[in-house]
Amino acid sequence: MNKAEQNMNAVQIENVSKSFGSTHAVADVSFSVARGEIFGLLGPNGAGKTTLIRIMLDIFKPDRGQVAILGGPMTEEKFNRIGYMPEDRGLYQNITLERCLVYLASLKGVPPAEAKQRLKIYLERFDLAAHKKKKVKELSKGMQQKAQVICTLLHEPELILVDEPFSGLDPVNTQMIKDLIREMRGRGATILMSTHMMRQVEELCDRIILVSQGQAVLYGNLNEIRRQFSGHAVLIRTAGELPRIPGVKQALPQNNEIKLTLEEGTSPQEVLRELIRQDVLLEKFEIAIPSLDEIFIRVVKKGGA
Amino acid sequence: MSKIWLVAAQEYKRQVLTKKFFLVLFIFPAFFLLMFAIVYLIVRMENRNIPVGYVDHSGFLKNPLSAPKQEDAPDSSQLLPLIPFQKEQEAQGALEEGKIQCYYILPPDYPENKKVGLVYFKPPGQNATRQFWNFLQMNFLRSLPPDKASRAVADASLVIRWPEGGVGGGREFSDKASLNMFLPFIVGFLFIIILFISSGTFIGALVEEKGNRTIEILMTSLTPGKLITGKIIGVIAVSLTQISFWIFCMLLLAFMGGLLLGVNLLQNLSLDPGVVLSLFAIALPSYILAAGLMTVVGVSVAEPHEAQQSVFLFIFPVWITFWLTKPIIENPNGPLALVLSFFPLTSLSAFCIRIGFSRVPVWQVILALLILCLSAAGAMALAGRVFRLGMLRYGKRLSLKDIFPRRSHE
Repeated sequence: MNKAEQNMNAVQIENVSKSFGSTHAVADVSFSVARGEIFGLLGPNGAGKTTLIRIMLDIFKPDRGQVAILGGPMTEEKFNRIGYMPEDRGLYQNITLERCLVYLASLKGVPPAEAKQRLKIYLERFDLAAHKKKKVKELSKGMQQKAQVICTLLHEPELILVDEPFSGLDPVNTQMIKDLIREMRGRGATILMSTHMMRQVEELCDRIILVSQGQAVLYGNLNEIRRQFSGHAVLIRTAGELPRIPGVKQALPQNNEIKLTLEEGTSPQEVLRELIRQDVLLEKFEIAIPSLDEIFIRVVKKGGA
Repeated sequence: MSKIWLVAAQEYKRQVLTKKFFLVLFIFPAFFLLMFAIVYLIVRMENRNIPVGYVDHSGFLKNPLSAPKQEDAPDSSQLLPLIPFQKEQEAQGALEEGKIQCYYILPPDYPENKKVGLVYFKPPGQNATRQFWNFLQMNFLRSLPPDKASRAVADASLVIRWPEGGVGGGREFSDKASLNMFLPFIVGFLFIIILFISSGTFIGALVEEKGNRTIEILMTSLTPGKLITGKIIGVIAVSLTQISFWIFCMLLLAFMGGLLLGVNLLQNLSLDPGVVLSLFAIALPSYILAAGLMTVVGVSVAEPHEAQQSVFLFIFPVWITFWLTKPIIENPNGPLALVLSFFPLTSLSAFCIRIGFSRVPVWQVILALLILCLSAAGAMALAGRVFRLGMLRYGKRLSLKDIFPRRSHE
């Protein structure tokens, strides 16, 4: 990687559009992924996430727009610096796990002997060492999923694109993958993750883009986005009964607290003033930061309405 | 190692290290060996090495000359003893005791009528009949010097030689080496079998990779062009392994049959290296053409079984050519033969038929090669285009409109 490349974003997408026949899969989408960050590519099913990933990987050519990967257009040399885990897992079923992974790593430019050495470490870490001589089809779904993760990382890529990395994994292995993603970022890799699991996105991602019906509907720093969407609810804890507060659409008990969902146009400050005016004994007043799930549903529903 | 060679090596190992490959590899030689063994055993069973008796009432064989050796006998070193008997009862007794397999009776009027009687429990072997027949012929020709009589009695040999510059181009056909005429045909037929097998295998590999989604990993590791090229090299290497082994088995079989077992038909085998080279040169671009077209078909269809069925598209032209074998042989340089030789999908099969029965002009081989190479290049270019579009379409057919859109974005 040269200095100019280092200063550039790992991924730079500008006004990209792609249609299949009369279907507009991606429409004028722009975003960038900085080097070393974990970026979330979110969206409902059929939103165009996989098409975007395939455009980034030069599998599909965009109808319009510009794509720059690792500082410029995709080249065969760059394939060796990218790790991709597709949503539909793909490994040769009728050959042994070791042969399959060594071959796929060698296609990424790793000499077979070195790939074998690296694989040994990964297989032990993922509890697959005892299964390396088994045919891939003989492995359980979870094992194949772990093997796919190894396949994505074995050549130590700079840019990792993972489509639904947690599907099919139990909590223990989910945690393992999360740790691995953090570890890869620690090594300087850039990770673009497409997933429906918002909890994992909240835990891992620095920035996100939410795509709906082929269009970018939300894009930016995750905390900023959550703050943008806060203000529609407050969490309170009171010693006594809660009177009726104007501007509150719904009051839902949550553990020892009450979540007040505010009507459009009502601010948390107005609610606080009203609570004080009514002499409500407040033990806690907090602006509720919405979960990514809530934001997702709200934005996608709004987009679909 | 270049990624092309990595793909080729992987494709080769993936196909060769399977039970199916070894089954196919050995099934053809095993079939031929079995056929050969059956024929050999039938001949051996018919030939019994037990003496033959005769009773001569005519005096024709009073001081007989012995029969010459039979050159086409499986074991030409062995001559059956011919035992004369004075009386039929003696010969009958020897037959009943198993000392002779049969006896011939020459009646008193034999020199005039040329009719003999034959007595046996089990029909005598071919070697016995032929030897006694030669023995009689030899004695009919006793007025000639013995060496001339032997040559006259020995089997005649038919040799056909085409004139230089004619259809056969100076080639020679001998009935003692009749297999030589069919050898190019047999070798060509092997190339065609391998074309079918490798086409089926190639499309199977593509469909498998599309089905198990490995293709997405591959497409982010190397370009479609390199991927397809590597696969084709791998498939051709598999094909060459098969055909080399089969040719080796044929030679081994011929050696065993000709030298060890003394089968005359297999002793004079020869195959013109130029013929093999021409067939190989035609076969190579034919394989690439088939692989390119198979790629187009394999990635365009929605379901794996549709891809397998499409192999029929390539079998059909070859089948048509073989169906037209008779008119092609009758006029090996006629318009029909030429059209089929220059049409890319029938080139290989047409040359297989023609090359055994005629001397194909070099310019025709070169022109056919040129057409095949251009077709193969076109098929590969189309394959590369379709590959990108079709391999990631799961459960959807690729239409011509998809392949050739009005407005290209690529």
